[in-house]
Amino acid sequence: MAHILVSPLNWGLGHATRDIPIIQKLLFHHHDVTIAAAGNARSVLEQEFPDCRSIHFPDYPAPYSTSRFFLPKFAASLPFMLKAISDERKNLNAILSKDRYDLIISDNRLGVYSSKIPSVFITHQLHYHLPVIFWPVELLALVMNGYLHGKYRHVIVPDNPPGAQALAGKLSRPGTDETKKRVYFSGILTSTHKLDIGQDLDFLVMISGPEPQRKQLEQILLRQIHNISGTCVILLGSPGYHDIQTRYENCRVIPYASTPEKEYLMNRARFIICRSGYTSIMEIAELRKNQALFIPTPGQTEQEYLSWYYEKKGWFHSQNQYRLDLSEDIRIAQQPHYTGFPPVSRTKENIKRLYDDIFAYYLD
Amino acid sequence: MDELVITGVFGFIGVFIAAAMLLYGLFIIAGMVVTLIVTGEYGAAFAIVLGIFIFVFLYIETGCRLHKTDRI
Repeated sequence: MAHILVSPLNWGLGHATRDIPIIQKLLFHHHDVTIAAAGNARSVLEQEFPDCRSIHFPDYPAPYSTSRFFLPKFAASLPFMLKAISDERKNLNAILSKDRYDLIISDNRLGVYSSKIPSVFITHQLHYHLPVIFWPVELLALVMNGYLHGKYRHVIVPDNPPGAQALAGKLSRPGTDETKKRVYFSGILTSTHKLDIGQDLDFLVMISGPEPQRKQLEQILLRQIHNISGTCVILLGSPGYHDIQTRYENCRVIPYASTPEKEYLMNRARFIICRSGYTSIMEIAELRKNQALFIPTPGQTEQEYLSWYYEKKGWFHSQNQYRLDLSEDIRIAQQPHYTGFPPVSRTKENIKRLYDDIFAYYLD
Repeated sequence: MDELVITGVFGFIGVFIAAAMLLYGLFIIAGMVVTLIVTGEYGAAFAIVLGIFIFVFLYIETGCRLHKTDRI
């Protein structure tokens, strides 16, 4: 029985939730798992795995911008991030000195690795997308990623290998030899499952992401929701909200849904409207939903790229939240030339392969 | 100090110096063009402005080409 340290980044819940099937698999093989995380990421995993030990392990503040300009704020936050990574390294050494670990799994935490303990890194972004004007920075970032990936035994990418079935497009394409020789494409990893129930809900709207963009999208969608016909549920992704009025008789507004509730609603939905975050993408691929409308968070280059990529591939329609015309965009998104994602292998199969190909070598 | 952090600090300083040098270069060139215009050397000023346009064109063209060929 081996002991594994699992440490997801706390920038949204996506990193923590995609680690859930990994931790389940490790526990299934009777290994000990210690969760090292902060904030909501830690809470989610503690709730999911009450028997696992959990350590408070702070990471770096997310450089989400309150305006549409993400890049300047990100650049300005770099010195603070370096300080946070320095603290992260010190904290990690303290954690590792107190216990014996056989494997470290870092989900996008750049400072969580050890030269003495096998360490693997999980990311869907091997290649950062920037506006074309910053092309030298994009190339420089590839080299920087190569350096960072060199600290790990493996870089696990929750996507299919580059090619026709790659859901993250160029984001999951390795750019340097350092990355290429470590990369392992696991296929999608999500805690959302396909349920054996019918699709009796016409529209599911999931409003998520950092404030104030989440609130802005909520206002834009609530203003337009009466323009669509059919049954509809709106998840606001905002705990603590209670007093929401809706002018649409078939539309139910839910301030916050638990993970199982959200999974149930996603399974019931014929058409999903959400951000083009990679966690939602993997959920939609897992459930094999073919009809969706993506609304990227303004200024988040990753989401903007994915929206553009899916439009280019003819998989899904996307629209900027400031130009959204809900009924018209839904009509466009329902056109038959949008095919949805190609069928990809599901998490259950992927996680088994990942364990056998990578983890078993270090743990069994 | 940890190697990762040292590399990050040097990388950040490098990027900062490169940005400062770029701004300084732009400032020097702008001053040069203004001086040439004031002293009536329009031919030389035109040549520098043309050079800047060619550089900007090539810079953007390189970016677009890298994008079209799927390198970035």
